[in-house]
Parts: sequence; structure tokens; C-alpha cells
Amino acid sequence: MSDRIATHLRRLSAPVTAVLLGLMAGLALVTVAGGTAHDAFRVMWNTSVACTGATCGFFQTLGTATPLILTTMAAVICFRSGLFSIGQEGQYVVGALAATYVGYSAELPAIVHVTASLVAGVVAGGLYGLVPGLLRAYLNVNELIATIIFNNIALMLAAYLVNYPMRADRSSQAYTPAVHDSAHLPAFVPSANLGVGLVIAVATVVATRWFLFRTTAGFGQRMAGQAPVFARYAGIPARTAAVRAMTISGGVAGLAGGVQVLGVTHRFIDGFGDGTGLDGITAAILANFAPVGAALVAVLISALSVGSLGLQIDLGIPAELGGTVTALLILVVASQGVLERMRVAVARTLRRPGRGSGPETERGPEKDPPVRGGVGPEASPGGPPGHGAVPVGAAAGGPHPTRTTVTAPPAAHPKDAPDA
Amino acid sequence: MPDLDLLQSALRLTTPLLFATIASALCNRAGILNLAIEGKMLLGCFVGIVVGDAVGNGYAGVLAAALAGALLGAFMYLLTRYGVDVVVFAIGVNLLILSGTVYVMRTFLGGVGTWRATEIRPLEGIELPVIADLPVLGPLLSGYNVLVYLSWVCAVAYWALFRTVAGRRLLAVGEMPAAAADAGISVDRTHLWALVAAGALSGVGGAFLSVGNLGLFTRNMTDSRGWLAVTAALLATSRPLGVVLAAWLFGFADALAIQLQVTTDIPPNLIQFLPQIAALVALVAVGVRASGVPPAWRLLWQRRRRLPAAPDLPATPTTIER
Repeated sequence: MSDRIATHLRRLSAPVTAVLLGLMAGLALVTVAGGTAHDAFRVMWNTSVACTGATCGFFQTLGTATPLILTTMAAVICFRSGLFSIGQEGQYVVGALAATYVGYSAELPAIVHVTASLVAGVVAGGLYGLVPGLLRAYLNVNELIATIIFNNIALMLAAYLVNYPMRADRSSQAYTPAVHDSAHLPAFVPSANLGVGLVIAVATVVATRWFLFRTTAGFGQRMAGQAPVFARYAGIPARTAAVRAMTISGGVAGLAGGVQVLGVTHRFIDGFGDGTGLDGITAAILANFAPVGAALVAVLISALSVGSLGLQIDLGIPAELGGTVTALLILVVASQGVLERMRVAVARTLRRPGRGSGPETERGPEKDPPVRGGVGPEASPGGPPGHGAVPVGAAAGGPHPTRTTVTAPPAAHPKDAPDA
Repeated sequence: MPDLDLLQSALRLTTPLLFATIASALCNRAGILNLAIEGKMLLGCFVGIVVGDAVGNGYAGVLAAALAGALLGAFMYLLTRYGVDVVVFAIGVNLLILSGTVYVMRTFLGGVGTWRATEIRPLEGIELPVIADLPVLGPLLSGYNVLVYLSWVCAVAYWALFRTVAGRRLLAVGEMPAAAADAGISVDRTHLWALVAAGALSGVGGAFLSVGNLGLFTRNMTDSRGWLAVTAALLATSRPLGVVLAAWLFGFADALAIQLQVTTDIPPNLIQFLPQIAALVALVAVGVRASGVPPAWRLLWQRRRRLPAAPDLPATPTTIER
């Protein structure tokens, strides 16, 4: 039992360090902008967390986090399956469009209408994810660039539809007709945009975790991402896994769009695609693609953005503070590989003082195929360090001329224990 | 007959895209997937005008922008050497520059949504002595500011690069680093130069938007042009002529779309669609090509081509951090 706790603590240490570093950087930025750390912290706390009288900052945070949690889950599913797709933004927009359309053009009793609209969003998003997935699976198209292009197309399509065919009136910022009341998602706290959407988001987090860690299909997805060769041997075709991942992830992102439209904006306004998709990826990366962790990070990012708005209103510090701190968090997380290696190198040196730094890890792109992140040669191309490589018990091994990177104490990391 | 104004503005507005497309193509050829081009452009955009204003000279601003981009490129190279996840880093850096530039603008420069340079004006156009008098091409080719001409020079240089030893080495490093390393080419140094050059080019491209065109800086001034450039480089399969054509295609489509929106009722987005679709088709073609034997009809063309298309996009991660 204490082993599990130790493992969890170790796993948490990296993101927690990242968050602390990020907060410190944020406070530094605040000081530079003329505020005091104490004031800034107080304001941010009040705006995004504290409840005073009529308003509750935490509700605001949760309301903002609702679509973000969903796009984060979409990213988690996708990346866990080994697909580096940033198409959540496009799928979000397409799903929102579909939900809006069903919302204002159909006449149905309340619950049916909401469900139908949400389903429309899911289906639209799923289809929009399916296409790049098929391209990737069957035509070997690079999904990263493909999804970038699909994002562009989706945003253009949305701009076109909102401004022309689906336009409600000739105001300066175009929007569609409002969805009927029967298609609204009930809100608990309308002023904070908090409603049934959050319930849906939490349910999706649970479902994602259950899918990825408790079903065979989910296991297959994860293996396709972590150890593609093993997955193939285990009978999980890479193509199926890729297509399934992109479709499900697209569906979830579409659900995010539907939830946002039906619960908050009640119509599709030009400029809807405001980066929620990319923020979802950010949150997923920060949490190392653990479903529950990523949802928590999504709430954290929302708290940051809500808080920094409050900071701007109260203290005059630019709201971009939130974005800057989030970006710094990403950079710290991206550098984790370095810190981890340094930690390993130090640990080896301490363990065997006479042998210097032990088997050197081969780094740098000198001898590698087109690299990403400058990693050593591995079984799975382009993976991050220590990934998919045979967990070389190199700590115990002799001075073999290792060219594989050494994972951090290999024994203690059960590779697919369910992440929190 | 397309309007002269339209052509001129299209040509002018393609400049940042051309710079960034060359940068992206250069990195692709070196085997690096550089996703931070958007960030470098925006950085160059910001640094260019701020430094230019501080010094009082627009050209100094451009130089500073190039330097900033180059430094960022070198920094990225350092990070790849030390095992930092470069794609995640690129995402982070793009976001950091987006938020950070606005933050600095609002904190230190006092601009709220926009910051105008007060000491300098946008770079002036240059009338080329002989060319300006040509009947049809004259107004089309002359009168732009130096950055536009610089972009053309860079395009030619990119073409010429692959006729030099250094360019061939770059190709080798990109296509088969192991073989290149065995042949004694330093893969590391090539990557460094590629990233630095790409950074400088993107920075200058970004600087065009602020220093060379409008004389101000706003939030997210580059507005995904960097990503457009990545797409354009892909459409061009990183070939020199393709790069120019693809950049012009995207730029022209944008200019045409805006023009048509003003004069007619045609939605601009429909026109902007087309280059994206073209890029998608190119993407599929690249993927198909990379995965299999070229079909027979392609072998007919094989010999005529001087420079092969980039074999495939550099690897993106297919596995995730554990």
C-alpha cells in the first residue's frame, strides 16, 4: 500500500513542481507589472475560488472549465493512442455548429431536444475526427499537419456558415438564431455558466478513465500508443486503434462544443473557436495524459484564466498573465525529460561513486532518424526518452555499451497502473 | 484582368508568408519538424517594432527581429540536444510568445490593444531604377519595401542552396542522418544552422508585419500565418519553386478573398478554403508517397526532377510520455 502511495507521490512530484515553478514565475510577473504578490494572490483567490455572498468564484471557474475538461479528455484519448493530433479545436467548432443547428431548427420536447442536439454535436465531431483518422490509418498521412489543416477548414467553415447561411441578423458580429428553450442545458448557476454541462464533463472523465483502464478496447488503445509492436502482436491492429481513437476523441470534442453552445451561449457566435481545443491539449500534456489529473489541470487552467481576468479588473495587471503562466507550465513540463535525466544521472553517481556517471545515455540527434526531442534510438520511432524501449535493467547491468536511454528506476514504475 | 492594386497587395502580403515558408521548408529538409515558426514570427514582429522604435530606425528593428528569431532557434536546438520534448516545447513557446508579448506590451509599453510606434514609420517603398519603368511589370515589381525584395532574394537563395555543398549536406542530414553522420557530416551542427536560419527568417517575416507594413503591434498579429507557412511548405514538398508558388497561392487567396468581400458578396472563406484543400491533397500525396513504391507513371517523371520532394514530413511523436 505504501508502495502505491510512494508511486503516486513520485508521479505527482513532477506536475506539482511544475505548478509551483509556474506560480513563482507568475508572481514574479505580477511584481514586475507593479502589483504585490500578496495582493495578486488575494485577488486571484477571490475571483476564482472564494465564495462571497452572492457570487462564488469557484462556480465561475467550474463553468469555464466545463468545455475545457471535455476537450482535455478528447486530447487524452487521442494522445494515449499514440496519435499526435491537435484537431480538437476543429472538432469542437464542428460539434458546436451541429448542435446549434439541431437546436434551432428542430421542434422537439425538452429532453429529447437536448439529447438530440448533443448527439448531433458528438456525431459531427466524431466524423470530423474520423476523416483525419482514416487518412492517418490508411494513407499514412501525418495526423498533426492534417489536423492543423482540418482545424483551419473547420474555422473557415464556421465563419462562412455563421456569416451567411446561418446568420440571424446583420449585426457586426455574426451569430446564428438562438437555440430553442427546449434545447437548453439546465443551469445551476446561470451567472457563472455552471450547469448540467459540468455533470456531463465529470461523467466523461469517469467514462474516459473507465474506457482507457478498464476495458479491453481501451487497453488496446493505450498499447497502440505505448508499445505499438506489442499491440500488433496482441492482435490490436494499428489502423483500428488509430481510427477509433480519432473518432472517439472527435466525438468528445464535439460534445464539448455542444455543451458550450447549449448550456452557455445558446447560439453560435462568430469567434466561438477561441482556443479551447488547444487549451485541452495543454492540460492533457501537463497532466501527462492521466484522465483525472488532466481534468484537475483543466480546472487549474480555468482558475488561472478566470483569476487573471479578476487581476486585470482589480489591479490592472494584464489578463495575459494567465496565458503566460500556463505557457511556462508547459515549458517546465516539456523540460521534465531533462530534469529526469539529471536526476537519474545524479542518482547513479551517488549509487556507484567509483564508476563516475555509469553508462552514459546516448543523447542528441547525431545518429538518429529525424528526431523529435533528440532521443536515442528506440523501438518505437520518435518516442520520448525511455519510452517503449526495453526497460533496460541498466541500473543493475554491467558496462554494456548501451545506446538505449535509461528509464528512471525501472522497477518502480508499473507501466500501466491506472493513473489517478 | 486582375486589378493592379490587388496584385500589389497580394505580393506585399505574401512576404511574411514567404519568409516563414522558406524557414519551414528549410527545417523540413533538415529533418526537423519545426512547430515554433508561428512563435518566432510573432516574436520577430514584436521585437522588430519595439527595438526599431527604441533605436529610431526600422532597419535596426528588422535586424533585431532576425536576431531574436535566431536566438530562439538556437535555444530550441540546445533543448533538442538535452532531451526536451521539442513538439510540446514548441506548443508552449507559441503560447508563451502570444501571451508574453501582449503582457509586455501592456505592462511596459502602455499599449492596451495596440501599440503604435512613435519614432519610426513603416519602411518605405523602394523604386527600382530600371524596372520601375517597364510597361506592365514595372508597377508590379517596383515600389515595395526592402523586406519584400529580401524575401525574393531568400527564395532564390533557397533554390541556390541546394546547388552548393552545404545544401547537399543539408539534404543528406534530412533524408538519412545515420548515413550523413557516417560520411562525416555533423548532423548536430546542420540542425543548429537550420534552426537558426529558420528562426531568423521567421523573425524577419514577422517583422514585416509590424515594421514593414503597419507600424504597430497588436495581439496575435501574425494570426496563424506561421501555421499557414508550415502548411504551405508541405504543399510545396519543400521544393524551392514550390515554396514560392505555395506561399503566393496562400497569400493571393487571402488578398483575393478580402477584395471580393469588399466588392462582391462572395464569402471570403470559400476562397481561402481552396489553398487549404490543396494542402490537404498534397499532404495525402506525401503520405502515400512515403509509404509505398511510386506508381509507374511517376517513374516517367523521376528523371526530369532535379530536386526530389522531401521524402516525408519529419517524424512526429507517435507515442506519448509515460
